[in-house]
Amino acid sequence: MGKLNHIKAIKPTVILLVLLSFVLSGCAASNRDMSDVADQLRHNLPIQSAINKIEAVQVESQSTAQHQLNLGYLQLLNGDYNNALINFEQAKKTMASLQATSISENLSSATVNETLRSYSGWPTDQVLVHGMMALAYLLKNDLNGARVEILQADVSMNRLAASKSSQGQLAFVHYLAGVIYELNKEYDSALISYRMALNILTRHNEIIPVPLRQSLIDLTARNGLDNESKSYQEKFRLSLSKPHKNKQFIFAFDGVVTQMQEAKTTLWWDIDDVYLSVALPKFPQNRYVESPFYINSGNGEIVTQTIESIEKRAREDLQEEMPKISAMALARAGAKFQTVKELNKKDNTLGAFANVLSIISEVADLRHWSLLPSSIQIATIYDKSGAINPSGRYHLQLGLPQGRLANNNKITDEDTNQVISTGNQLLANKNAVILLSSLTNKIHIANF
Amino acid sequence: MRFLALILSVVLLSACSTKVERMDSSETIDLSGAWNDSDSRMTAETMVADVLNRPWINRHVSRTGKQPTVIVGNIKNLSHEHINTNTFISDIERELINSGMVEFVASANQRGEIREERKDQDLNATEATRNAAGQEIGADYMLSGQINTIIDVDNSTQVRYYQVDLTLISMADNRKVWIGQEKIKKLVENSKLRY
Repeated sequence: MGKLNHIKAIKPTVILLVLLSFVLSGCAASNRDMSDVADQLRHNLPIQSAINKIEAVQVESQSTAQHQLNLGYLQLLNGDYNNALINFEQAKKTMASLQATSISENLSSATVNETLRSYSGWPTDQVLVHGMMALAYLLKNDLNGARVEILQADVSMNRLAASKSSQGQLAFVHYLAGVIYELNKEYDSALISYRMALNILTRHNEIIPVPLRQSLIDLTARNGLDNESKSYQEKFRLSLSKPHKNKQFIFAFDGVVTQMQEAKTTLWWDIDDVYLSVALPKFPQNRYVESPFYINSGNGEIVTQTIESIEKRAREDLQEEMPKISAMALARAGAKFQTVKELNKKDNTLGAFANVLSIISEVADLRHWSLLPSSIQIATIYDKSGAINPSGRYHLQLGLPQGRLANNNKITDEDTNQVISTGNQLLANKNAVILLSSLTNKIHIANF
Repeated sequence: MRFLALILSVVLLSACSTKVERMDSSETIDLSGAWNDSDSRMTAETMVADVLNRPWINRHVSRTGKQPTVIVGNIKNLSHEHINTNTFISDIERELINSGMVEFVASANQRGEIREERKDQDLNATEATRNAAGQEIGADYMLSGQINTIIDVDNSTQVRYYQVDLTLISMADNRKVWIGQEKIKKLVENSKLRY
């Protein structure tokens, strides 16, 4: 009878623990499924199959933004710009609505684990979603739509800059803003954006890609800032670009970002018969080797250069949050320790059960925008007069990064050069935006 | 105790159900602080009232002896939001037409469709009902403009400033006969806490 009373007294706590362990197992499962797709993409899973797999993932309400970001990105690469925009827009709204601090989610993360929080996106995600949307709008030939997104990205970056060091400050997004302004003939705004991209890359001590250097030299001169243009020319050892009618701005996504892993430690505290467990997210060592894209446009071969290393940005985001995540994990371990100890005192069987649950429930939150490329690269083709063939159209030849096997029948040399020639057309006397990805042979072209 | 639990469940479930309430389309409801139907309608009303009260109309009537014919051109969205400028353009068209003070001609997009229909009439309509080509009225003025925004954010507080600039240009000599400007400023405070 006395034992029954113990069970009655303990029941709500145990039920709560059991329920929560069920809930959290679902959360971890959906992230695992998406990480599996990321791994398969690295091994040549076709984009359409990846989309089907991501669509089939059962996602809990707290991970919808992560799911929409991943799905939207794949749809963008697959040329389904409208659905990509729908998913990105929903993810953007969800992330914005989650900026307020949640009382219940803080409570659950302090007692069970971090996966019970809604995914509000890392700072890089919150800004990059605008960049991806801007690209989708550009590829739909909607320059105004793209302009709206880069203005929103600017607001997001300003908001993040006010509160958190350099998190969410993306050179790629500023460069893309410059391209959009340039296409819109707003050369003064374009120059400001290019300068911002330069500042970020300088602050990160990263290589400044030639297309950005050249744009800075050309646009300062165009805006009448001759001294600044000359100083850039001396600094970058480049001169003003030769007269050209149009520019083709190339963006290339290489690889799939490394997936976060769990680092878990469990300790047996024999004085109180309690397991202490702490699980934290971590990125494995960065083994990504940049693979440039090669473009033959009739004006010689051009090689893409990295403007944004997502591998680095993702690690910086995590690094910045680690003190908070670690503190919460330790507080949680303390709370669980106390609960199990109390249960142990009342009933050994329930104490043992709670011990197991506390270990199972301690999982690290590994959610991030897991299908992003490892790096974003850029190149610019200056379309000189007479470079376009008499038909008024010309073909791009694109070399895929080494190590990729492509399954497009337009590939001419799979083993060595891996060169593909596409039917996509660049129109004469037009500026263009071109998107390439190492995950697909599709070449996205929009003429302006 | 059970009764209380039952009541609580009913209250919780009712909170989850979808609720639809019909309201007057002129009612102003601000949800997110973004550009909405009320902004579009009120801006159109204010700016059209302004354009119709300026001296260019009387000057045109006294010079030509007829009402001016206006066409709405491109209203460019240079704001931070994906604004459907079509609703704003149709609000302006409605206000201008209903004023009875100006004639209005179809926009470039609409004209294409009408010309196709006229070609079709040439082939298929009876002579008595057929409309001949080359009888269109050319616009005297074009109304065009842009929507700009400035957004200032500090944590959960935003100031959203909208500026709508419209210009009426004479088709004959590119003279700007009217420039209108409407400003909207909104303070949006988002909650710092959520459940």
